[in-house]
Amino acid sequence: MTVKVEQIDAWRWRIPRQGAMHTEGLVYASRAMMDRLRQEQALEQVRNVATLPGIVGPSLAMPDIHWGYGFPIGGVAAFDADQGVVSPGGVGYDINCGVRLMRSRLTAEELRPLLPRLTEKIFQQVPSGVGSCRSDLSLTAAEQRQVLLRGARWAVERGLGSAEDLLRSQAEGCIAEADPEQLSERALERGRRQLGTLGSGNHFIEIQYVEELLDPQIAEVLGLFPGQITVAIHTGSRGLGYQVCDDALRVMLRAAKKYAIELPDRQLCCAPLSSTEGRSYLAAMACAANYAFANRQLITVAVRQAFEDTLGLGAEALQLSLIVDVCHNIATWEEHRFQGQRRRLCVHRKGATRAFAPGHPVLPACYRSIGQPVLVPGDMGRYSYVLVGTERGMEETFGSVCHGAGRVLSRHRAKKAAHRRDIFAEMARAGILLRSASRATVAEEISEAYKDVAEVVQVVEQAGIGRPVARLRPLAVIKG
Amino acid sequence: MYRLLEHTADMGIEARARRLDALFVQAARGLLDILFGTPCPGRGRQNLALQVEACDREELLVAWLSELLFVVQQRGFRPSGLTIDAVNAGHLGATLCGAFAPEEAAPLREVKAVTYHRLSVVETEDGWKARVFLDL
Repeated sequence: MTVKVEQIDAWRWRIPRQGAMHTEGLVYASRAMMDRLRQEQALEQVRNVATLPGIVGPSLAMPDIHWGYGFPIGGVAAFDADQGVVSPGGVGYDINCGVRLMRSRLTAEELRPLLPRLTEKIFQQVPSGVGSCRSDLSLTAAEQRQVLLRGARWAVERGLGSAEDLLRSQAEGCIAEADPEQLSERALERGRRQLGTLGSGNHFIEIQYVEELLDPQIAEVLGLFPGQITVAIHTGSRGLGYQVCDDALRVMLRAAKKYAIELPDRQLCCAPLSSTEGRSYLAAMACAANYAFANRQLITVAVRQAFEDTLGLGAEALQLSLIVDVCHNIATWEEHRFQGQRRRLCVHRKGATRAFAPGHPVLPACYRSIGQPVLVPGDMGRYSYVLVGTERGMEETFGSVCHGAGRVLSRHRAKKAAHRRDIFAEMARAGILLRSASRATVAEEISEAYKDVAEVVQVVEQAGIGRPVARLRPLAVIKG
Repeated sequence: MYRLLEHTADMGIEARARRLDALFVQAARGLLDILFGTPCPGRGRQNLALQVEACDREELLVAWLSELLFVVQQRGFRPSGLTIDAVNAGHLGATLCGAFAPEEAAPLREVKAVTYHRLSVVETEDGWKARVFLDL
């Protein structure tokens, strides 16, 4: 069915309220992006989200929007605490999939001769690939419970990282409402040996350098300078998170019937936020989110160790410190001003990132003057961006921006495009060292499979919902 | 028979068969094809019985493929064949033939889950047709 779309301005498109929709849709996109979007299912998914009970404000889509399942990827929706719902499909299977960005004292020129050794070292120290697990770290039931309750704090309390790592992470690396009793045996089993692993698909570790400062003043607050080495990590809650979502969907299918919620797509199944089912899911989701925070923290520690071993320098000399850790698949309780009133809302971000404006009280003191920093990764062959949140973003998107570039080619088409090509050699010619557990993954992750993230960031900037600070160029990429 | 469906970020399976039990076999073969590039990745002869329940045929399809995914990805079972012993609108019993031998075949990709997005199981003039999407 064709979805009616009206252009508001060069960067905003409205899906008018009709039929079962409780609100309108609002999509951030250029005209060229919208022409592509009209050919797939993502706009229909924006419309479907608008039919969910208790939605506050529009059903939103960021410019990296593409066809997901249930919610579109790039979707943001806020729900009223009393009238609204929580939908596991609005968070996704990889709960708290997210990215973290570290800076260093090194420059690209200093690191370049050691890059092959360093990349190999990280590849050896961080298990990656399909079903990757740790042979050296199998959590006991008691340890796993602490991970689920305390997230990255669990790691830092064991000497794996610093208090500053926590301070610069969303929710300080731990969501408080976690209840491990809500997890199935299967979820626990799947999580036991995967802490500190990258996984596969679009997950990565990237060694980058700062190619250009787009806002030097804000960059200075973030400690960024031209030519500086940075490291990005993209992964989530691994099999434990997938199982939590899977288990919750079965409960929510029954709950939707029980609470007489009409579903345009079963994947949107949900329950009132105030219901037993809704609260149970949020408690289980928090466990998976905490697992993901701890996962990225352990990988951070392994990356730091690899730098120290390869360069023969101590932590003090390297200063591999965290800039930010942000979640892009999550539902969180937030306070927002909406139509002149303070409201407590459950904001679902499915492939979208929280980016609060300067002055927001939840931001750490070090970032309160500039707004929340966000890493927006591009594809493995081009570049990534650092942004910060804006006041306009608070007004229009509940303080949200895009989470990446967004796919344009299916995996099948990407594989076809990569056929008979040596992607490793192509990347090397572009000055990027590529290491991967799987050639099949590399084929599916070629640059052309994604939008140019510069176009995505341009929409965010022009619409005023985020401010670009720096562009980072990859030097070495580790794929799962 | 089955065919793999394109999706911008993920993949889907469309299965067709004359009987409902054969439809569930075809969908499973599609899943194994996505995981391994072949619907028969294993060589072993050990039998593994699986039972799943759901409230309708569509959810039964998701439950069945999810169970298969769990024993393959998490437990390392590599099926060399599979049969559906019994199936109705709310219950499915199946026997996998194969072995717990992950070294026999490495998955090409990770499948995170079997989704309910645009899920369908319908009776057609010449049998049954199903559509299901996976999160990769």
